[in-house]
Amino acid sequence: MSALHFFRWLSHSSFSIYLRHSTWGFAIIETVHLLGLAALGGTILIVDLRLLGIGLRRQPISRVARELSPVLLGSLGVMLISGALLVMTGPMKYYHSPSFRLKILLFLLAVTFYFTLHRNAVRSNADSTGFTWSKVAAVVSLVLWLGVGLAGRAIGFLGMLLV
Amino acid sequence: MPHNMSPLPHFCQWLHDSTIGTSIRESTYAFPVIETVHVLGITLLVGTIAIVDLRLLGILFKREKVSSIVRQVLPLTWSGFVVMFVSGVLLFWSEAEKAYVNPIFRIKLLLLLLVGLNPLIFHSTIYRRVAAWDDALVAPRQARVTAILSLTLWTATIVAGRAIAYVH
Repeated sequence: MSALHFFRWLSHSSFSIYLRHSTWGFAIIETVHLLGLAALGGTILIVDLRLLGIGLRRQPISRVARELSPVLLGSLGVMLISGALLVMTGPMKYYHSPSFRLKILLFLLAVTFYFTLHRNAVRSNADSTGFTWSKVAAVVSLVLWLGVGLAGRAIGFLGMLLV
Repeated sequence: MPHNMSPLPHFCQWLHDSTIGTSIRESTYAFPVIETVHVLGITLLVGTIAIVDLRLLGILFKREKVSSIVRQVLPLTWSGFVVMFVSGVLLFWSEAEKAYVNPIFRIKLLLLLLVGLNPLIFHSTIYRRVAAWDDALVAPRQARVTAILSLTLWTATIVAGRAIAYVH
């Protein structure tokens, strides 16, 4: 089954039709998505700023990341579920949105990076004041996650321009 | 504009019609870009506040001194506040007239007032005696109430902020 078939199938499901016709469905799901973003964005910012040597400097980097990991995973879960529900409010709108495609691509890159190279940087606890690869990892992570957020914002914004 | 208009709506209309307000409103990208910066400010501000709240509740960084977490996180919290405040003022500036009559916007201002009073009370009462409970895994009851209020009020503020755009 191609992606197009899959999105068509989604848009014909009774749940998607129900969400599309509900008055507050989109607004409520979007608000939950935004609350998830506040928690996820906050965690990522704090860990990456710590890698760059800003904030919570008395704790080792790996400790900061470990303490925050339940918040990170929990909010990631909230974002994934609410995000999937948002897609269900109009699957074809998302299928045809270039911003949505970019967002998915950036999201996959960000998640992959975060749980591989970034995790290694966190575990290495490199805490020198000069240049380290950990700092590069922090900047790459910030740029990727910011890209996910901007592309997400662009879905609604560019959609509005086109309509 | 009626002559008997009270100063506040008059001021909002003046802001709305000012060069800066109009420029932001009429530009294609200004509003969504400022709004994105506003959301980033929220992640930093609320993210760092939540860390302190969760420490008080004994959920995160239990083995660290409360005052150590507060002191380390505070510069980030203030940075987030500045970003959020400046971008928030610009957003308001561009639609002051609409915001003034929006009931959700009024609720949000009220929530911001409460969410600002909460740490003021905290820092001028129980936190003054932090030395006595700095190492406690779970903070005293008043501090825990502050933490729960803070998490609840910030959640409500974000919900209200998002809802401004849904209510006309």
